[in-house]
Amino acid sequence: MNQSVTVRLDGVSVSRGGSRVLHDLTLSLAERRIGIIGRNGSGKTTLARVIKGLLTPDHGQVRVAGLDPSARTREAAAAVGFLFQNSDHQILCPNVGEEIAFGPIQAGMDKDAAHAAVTRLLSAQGVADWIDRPVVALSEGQRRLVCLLAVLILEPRVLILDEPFNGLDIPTRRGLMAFLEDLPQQILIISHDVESLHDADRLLWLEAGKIHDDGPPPLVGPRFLKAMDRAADIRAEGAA
Amino acid sequence: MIALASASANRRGARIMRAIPAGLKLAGLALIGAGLLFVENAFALGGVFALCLVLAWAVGAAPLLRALLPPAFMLALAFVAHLVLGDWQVGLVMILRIGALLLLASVVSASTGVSEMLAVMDRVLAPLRWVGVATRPVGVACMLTLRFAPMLGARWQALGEAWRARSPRRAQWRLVTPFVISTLDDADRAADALAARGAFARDD
Repeated sequence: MNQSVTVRLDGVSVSRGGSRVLHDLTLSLAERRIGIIGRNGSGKTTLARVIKGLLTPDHGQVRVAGLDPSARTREAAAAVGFLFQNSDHQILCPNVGEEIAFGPIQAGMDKDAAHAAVTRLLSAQGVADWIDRPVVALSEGQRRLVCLLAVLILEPRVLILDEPFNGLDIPTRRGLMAFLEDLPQQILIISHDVESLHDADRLLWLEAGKIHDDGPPPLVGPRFLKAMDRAADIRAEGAA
Repeated sequence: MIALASASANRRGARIMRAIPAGLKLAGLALIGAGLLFVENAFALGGVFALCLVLAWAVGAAPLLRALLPPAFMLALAFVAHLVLGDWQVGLVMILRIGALLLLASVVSASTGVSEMLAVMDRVLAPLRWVGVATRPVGVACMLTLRFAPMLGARWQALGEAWRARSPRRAQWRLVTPFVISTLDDADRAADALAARGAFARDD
């Protein structure tokens, strides 16, 4: 894995319906594990979508491994893997094997080779028998794993996970964390649950589309939690 | 259909059926289907029906048989109608023929992956490609239909429950607008998911 800067944003602004969602962001992301925290509507998901190339910024430039992620080329599409917040929004095929083979086939791999790659991947996870299972028969945690495998089979340089731990029970959450820890990819995790990110190398705190704080979790995490407590207090006083 | 697409894979019969190329199975199904129309003998049809039952059992398709209960009920009704209104032998021939075909079609769909079916369709559509029509989106669209059809049903049900949770009146047509809007939202998300995995990437 390339240790140099893989994600670079330069003066990136995004507007939606007249209001700025991202405000002139300039960032270099090189750390292996980066957490992006912030309140609802702070622009976390928009930032992730810009890095993946699902959204083209109104101003500024995004580069991932030197490529423009919103270019519709196979190379750019493969550079970043994106795990959607809701597994049901990501799954496109009726059964597991086809879902995981979808990306490689779109990337031009022939069907037999894709099938073999899926079989290898599932066997490595000890779930070879999932290949013909309908996705509707899987639990939420199992579906999350299928979504993750469907992204990993494309061997992206950068992995973006949008609230990956939402809706998972504690053992599944721990299992997923351990699984992510072993991945060679650079990983950006979006979350408002700062505790799940204490092992990250860097925390970015977004507030109203700007970087509010940026640093190691032991520094940024407590500040964030304190600010959240304060915000809750102010609202309680206002209501009283 | 989708619930059927998973005959237990560890049975020998299932493995054999899976190993047969999808094109061959579909062609066989079409031929047998057409052939059965010319068989009028109730004993011969009964034999075919029994063979189909054995085949369904051999691929380990017990859940498959449960899924066939509603059509079986319809067939039983049709037989009763024949019994009451006319010739019970004609009714028997009819339900044996349709029953055998239903069983056979279910066995084929349970032992054939969706991607294999799509590959057959891709070959059948090849002439369109020769005249310059892109056929790849057709396959993707079929896949998406199979994936989202049950989700649309679930969405309608969820909207109905959300309505009933807060209203004593029946929802009926009032659900149509939120249903259409949420379906369009789903379509947006599906487009994102397609883009995220390179479905719109050009070959360059």
